[in-house]
Amino acid sequence: MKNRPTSLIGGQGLRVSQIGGKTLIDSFASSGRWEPAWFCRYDAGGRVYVGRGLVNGVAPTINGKPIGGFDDEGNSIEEPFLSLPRNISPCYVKLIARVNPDGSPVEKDPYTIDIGELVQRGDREGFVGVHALAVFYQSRPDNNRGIAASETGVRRLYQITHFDLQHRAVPRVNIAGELMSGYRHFFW
Amino acid sequence: MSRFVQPAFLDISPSGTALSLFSRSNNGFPHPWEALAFAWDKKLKLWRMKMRPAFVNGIPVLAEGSKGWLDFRDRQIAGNLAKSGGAKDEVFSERSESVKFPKDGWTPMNEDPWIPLRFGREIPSIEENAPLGLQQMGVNAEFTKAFRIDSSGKLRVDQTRLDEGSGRRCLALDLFLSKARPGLVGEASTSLDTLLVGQVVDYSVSLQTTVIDSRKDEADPTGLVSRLYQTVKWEPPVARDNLLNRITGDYADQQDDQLKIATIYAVSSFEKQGEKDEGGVDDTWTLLCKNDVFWNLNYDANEIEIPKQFANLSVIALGTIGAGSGAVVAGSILAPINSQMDAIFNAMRTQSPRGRFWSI
Repeated sequence: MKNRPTSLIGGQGLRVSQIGGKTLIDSFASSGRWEPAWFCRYDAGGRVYVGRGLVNGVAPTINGKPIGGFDDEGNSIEEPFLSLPRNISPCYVKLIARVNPDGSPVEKDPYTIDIGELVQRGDREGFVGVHALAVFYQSRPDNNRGIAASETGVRRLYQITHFDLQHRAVPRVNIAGELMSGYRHFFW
Repeated sequence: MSRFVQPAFLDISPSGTALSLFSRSNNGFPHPWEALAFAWDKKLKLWRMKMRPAFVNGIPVLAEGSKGWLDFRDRQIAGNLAKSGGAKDEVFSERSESVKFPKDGWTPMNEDPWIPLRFGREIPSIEENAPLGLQQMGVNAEFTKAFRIDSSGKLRVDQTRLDEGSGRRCLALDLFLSKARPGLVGEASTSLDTLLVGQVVDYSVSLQTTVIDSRKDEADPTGLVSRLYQTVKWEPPVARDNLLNRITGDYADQQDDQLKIATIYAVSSFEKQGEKDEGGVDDTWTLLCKNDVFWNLNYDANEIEIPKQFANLSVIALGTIGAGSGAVVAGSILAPINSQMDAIFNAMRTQSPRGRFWSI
């Protein structure tokens, strides 16, 4: 590239100014940033918090407590959290839906949130549906000292689901058109 | 819904280089498929692009690109080396402390591949298919008409138009997502060449469950992970399902589902005017990304029912000998007694394992 005169132009949220021959770029903190549903955060202690999100209009639970910091009557409660396992990568924050053999949601805690591998073990009947909300990629630590990611490698969190969801369980049919036991689970 | 996405905007005007900035956090939520950065690859003489990682069914999409090429620290080291008289085109990796050239391969998007962009489509005029944003940047219809790709695929330059026109050229390419899936296959015991009146043809419909072999590699041994491809101009796949193919057993379904993700535009600098141009995109061009898809996706293929009686069907061929294959086909379809044949065709027409993408 040839040498050309270069100028800096500020844009939305950024201001460029020159003081004493130095260039300053001011960034304005956003006030109204949109936070999507299921927005996951984690702290250095390996606690993972899941933001407010709804499935079929219901807030899922972690250890019996609904996410989002409110119970059914609107009272403020302590926000439940998940513990990040350090030896699993990729490690998914997953939404789990449980249905009865007739296809209706189970009575107690039909929608829960768990953390671990995406595949749900021990579900031969297909009464459990799994949907990924977010995923951690982390390097496997080779010792048991501290949890800080900087010690052992990189930990990255990607948000997968950004919107409130609907869920339905559809009876599974084999290739000959016969009804099989279990359900296909759709989240949208 | 589509918009231009660019965290910082580098553009070359006739008077010099202008770097325009805007804060990404003020510009909505940083969504998947967002174009994070464009970089010029000096070694291979092409532009590369980094996208915010996207997931299909919770699995990162595979993109063809080089891992870890020119990340920030590598660039610093390369810059220092260039200052001290080292090779300019080489990229050094801090971790391996050895020369590391870009090596393209299928990489999960969460490992931040630098995707090489191979432009090929000339936007002929703004009135036809260039977005308004390009018009405001100075992409000129008259000027772009001077560049034309002839029937042999070579770029022709009309010098008179080039001299008269003022403005910038624009090239484009499309990125699309492809997910492999099984397809329906019809098999007949005889070929159409030997089909006779009254002959019994065994016909069966089956589901091809093997995945395209070229999809199976180190990055994805199953071949079922979604991949991000690029093409000059994406068109929806056309199913090869005419009746002739079906009756001869030549019918095969599409074996993947596709979705257009984004269009990448490259706009030339003003300085191209009047100069002899070889038609290539170089480091003076400005790149823009127009997204069609903004969110992560879920995908599911149709679960189809092939009734058992379709597995091995005998069909009686009707028609006239020597009247051409078309007559044979038409006769057998129109014959009301060949209801089994009708049933097969209906099944193949209405039932397909074709799946759908939806955003989550």
